[in-house]
Amino acid sequence: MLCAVVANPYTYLEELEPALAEARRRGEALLVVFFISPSALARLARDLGEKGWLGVASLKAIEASMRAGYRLLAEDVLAVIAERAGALGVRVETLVFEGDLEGLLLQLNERGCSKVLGVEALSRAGTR
Amino acid sequence: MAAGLFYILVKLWPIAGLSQEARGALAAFAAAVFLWGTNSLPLAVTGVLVLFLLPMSGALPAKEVYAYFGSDAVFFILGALILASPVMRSGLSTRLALLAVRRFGERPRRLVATLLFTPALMSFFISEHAVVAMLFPLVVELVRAARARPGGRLGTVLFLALAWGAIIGGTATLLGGARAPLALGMLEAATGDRIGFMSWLLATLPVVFGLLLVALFLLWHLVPKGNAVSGLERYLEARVRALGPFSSREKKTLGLMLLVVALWIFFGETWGLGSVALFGVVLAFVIGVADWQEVEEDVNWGVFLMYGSAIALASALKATGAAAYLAEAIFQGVGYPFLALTGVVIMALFLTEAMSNAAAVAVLMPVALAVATTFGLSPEAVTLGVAMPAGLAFLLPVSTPAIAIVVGSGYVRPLEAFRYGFWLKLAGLVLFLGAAFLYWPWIGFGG
Repeated sequence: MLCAVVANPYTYLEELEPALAEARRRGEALLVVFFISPSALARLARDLGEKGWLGVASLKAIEASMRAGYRLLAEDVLAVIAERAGALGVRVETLVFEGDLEGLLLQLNERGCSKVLGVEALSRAGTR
Repeated sequence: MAAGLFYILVKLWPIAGLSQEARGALAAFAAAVFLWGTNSLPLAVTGVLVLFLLPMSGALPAKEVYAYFGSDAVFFILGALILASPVMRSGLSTRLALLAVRRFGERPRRLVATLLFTPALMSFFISEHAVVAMLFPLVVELVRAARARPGGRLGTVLFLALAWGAIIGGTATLLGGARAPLALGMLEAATGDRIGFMSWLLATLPVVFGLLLVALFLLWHLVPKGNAVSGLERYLEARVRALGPFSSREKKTLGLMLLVVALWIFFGETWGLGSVALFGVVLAFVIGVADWQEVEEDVNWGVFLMYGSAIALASALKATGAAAYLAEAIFQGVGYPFLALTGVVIMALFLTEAMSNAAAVAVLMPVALAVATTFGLSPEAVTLGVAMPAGLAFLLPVSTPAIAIVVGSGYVRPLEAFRYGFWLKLAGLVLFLGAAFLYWPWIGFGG
């Protein structure tokens, strides 16, 4: 199965185009995973806390609401992707994965991914 | 390592006419600028390093360095941050924001205006960063309820309104961001001059309202006129109903904040801003609206280490003559006072995009105060000229938490934040210089 990982909500369509094209060419289904990295969000919240002199409670609140916001955003993004894939005649499955990079790779392996596209986005998300 | 090299280089570099003490202060300043600018160490830890470098370099005796923690400004910040805790915890701020949105925000343009002015007004009373952190979940819910899609105009505009409102409103009073009290602390330590709570507000209000109007125009330009936002009304009704009636804690917190602000306005000069803040803190515990455990979780105590050390550093630079040397080196050839003030304002506006607001104030204030002496400018005008523009960071996520949070939302592309923020930045420069040269002399701050 072909798989693609989306980690950037701003460039996902451009990043997915090659994956959609390849799935169409091969006539295979495409699994699109929206990857949310809690540790990246925690790091972002920590930086914000320091710059804005936010207390621990505000940091936890902002981290939790960003995670919740990302889950909702993931639904919207995956809906747009499904729409785009439908227009191209590509069968697509979607998944929201929240965890670390290792967990994501295990999940992709379990789902039988023979090839993972969007690796650039994946590596950026892991190192952010 | 690099900061250490900076320190050693500046300390050993032979500069004619500079004493050993001045070179020591300059070396500590160079290391602090590097670390605050690059964020290689947490801001507070750089503060601790400054506390060590100043006595070690011979710039100031240790006892004198630590004495700067006794500044009125440091205790004002302490009190203001503790007082913000019950405001956040009681749910008062969320209720006020929800009521405002339900009352005024049924159409896209009115919703945008409400989401711009509500955080702006809240940032008059508590830190702009806390306002954004508090209202962010609400805006996420609003954006979803309004069925704004990622990449769509409505989502971008609503998040930008939140960030811009809080940033602009945060420059209006001494409560919107800790950078203004820091600048005041440095002004007082260096010259003995003060700016009262009301005087600050009077000086900043025209710029704040002007900028809010420019921001509204820009946001309205992005969002088309339209009918009621579908789905929003039902969501707001349910959300307000879930809040229940106004609680006793909310009412007491509101009363307390109004009382403390009145005391800052009427007795701030005589009692001292710090004393009023501490009185408010005691009152908050006496009437039962504050809880110590909550306060411990809500206050970032590192702020005191950075602020105390920044005030000590500014005083060391001024006392040893290093600040005057720096001012002369940077502003050499600038013949006119208005050009010097314009230079300071531009430096503050752009430095704040590269480092935290507070770090920009800590770095610029010592130089700006020396510029005031050299060019015969009012130290109060120069203090405003650093502190207010240092709060107007609209371009980059690294500049201020508000922009980082909305870019992190997934609805505002970094390039959009930069592109629209640039016009706001430009408007800020024009409005600020207009106020400095035309309005401030009229209210007693010679520009």
